[in-house]
Amino acid sequence: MTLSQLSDVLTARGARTAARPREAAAADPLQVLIAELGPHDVARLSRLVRQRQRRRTELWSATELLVLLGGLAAGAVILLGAWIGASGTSRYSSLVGWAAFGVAAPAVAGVAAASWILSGIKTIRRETAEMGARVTELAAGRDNGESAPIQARRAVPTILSSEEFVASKGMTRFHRPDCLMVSGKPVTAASVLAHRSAGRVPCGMCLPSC
Amino acid sequence: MVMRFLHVLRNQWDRAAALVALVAAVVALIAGYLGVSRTAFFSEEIPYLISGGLTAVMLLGIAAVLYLSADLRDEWRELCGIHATLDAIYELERSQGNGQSSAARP
Repeated sequence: MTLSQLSDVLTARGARTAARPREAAAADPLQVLIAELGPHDVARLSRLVRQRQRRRTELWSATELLVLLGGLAAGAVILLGAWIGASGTSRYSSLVGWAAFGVAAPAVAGVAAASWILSGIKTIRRETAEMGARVTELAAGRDNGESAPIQARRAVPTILSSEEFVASKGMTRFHRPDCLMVSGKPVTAASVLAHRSAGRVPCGMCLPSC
Repeated sequence: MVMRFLHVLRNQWDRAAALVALVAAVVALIAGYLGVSRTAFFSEEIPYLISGGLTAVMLLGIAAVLYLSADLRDEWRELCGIHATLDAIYELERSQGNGQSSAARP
């Protein structure tokens, strides 16, 4: 994603999320920040963006994919069984029974499909909320004339890697206990090693690995 | 032209698959209707109802899932791009805070 594309995306997102003024208002300082960068910084920023985009994770997990495929396969098997059953009889009661059995096929597949779509929407909502908080924090840092990471490091003394950081079960990042990203959320503390072994990366805002 | 079509097909495979599932659903519905309309016996109509009607319903559901998934995946890609940019900005600002040169900082 180039910087101009990012600017377009943020503008479009701000327009779409007019009902959520916090995110929309926070998009502007980010664009101001990008506009203030010098040519050397822009080139470096673009390189960093490309590196991070390569580490992108998938929207759905393998388990969710398995649930979807399993549901669709079960639906297909039920449909095939109902068709074979109905083809092999001419009795009214049996035919109605097989037809009713066949109706279960779209129902089973529908439940699996709904689960797939809902989990996708849930993940996107979570990421959008996280991004909104990050942009807001970045904007707050700019308002004070300091970058957010510098503010965070000034406010919180450097913590040794042996200390514990917090995250909740569904989080992909771990945070300092006083990070705004986990404020008011049910989190559990663990060591850096435990978080990293769970596949989590340090929060880009509170920089728990610094 | 063909290459461009293949390129679009590769990038939009989920929407293309949704379109294929939609066409297959319509075909199954028409085949089921024709089968039912050509027989006078109830016992021969039910298998057509299952193989035509219910299959069409399932295929329509699959088409809907594929299309919605494509929209969600687009939004996810957009979010990942913004997250990557935010990460990069934080890293850039952190390195500037560590004393590196900055043309942007006032």
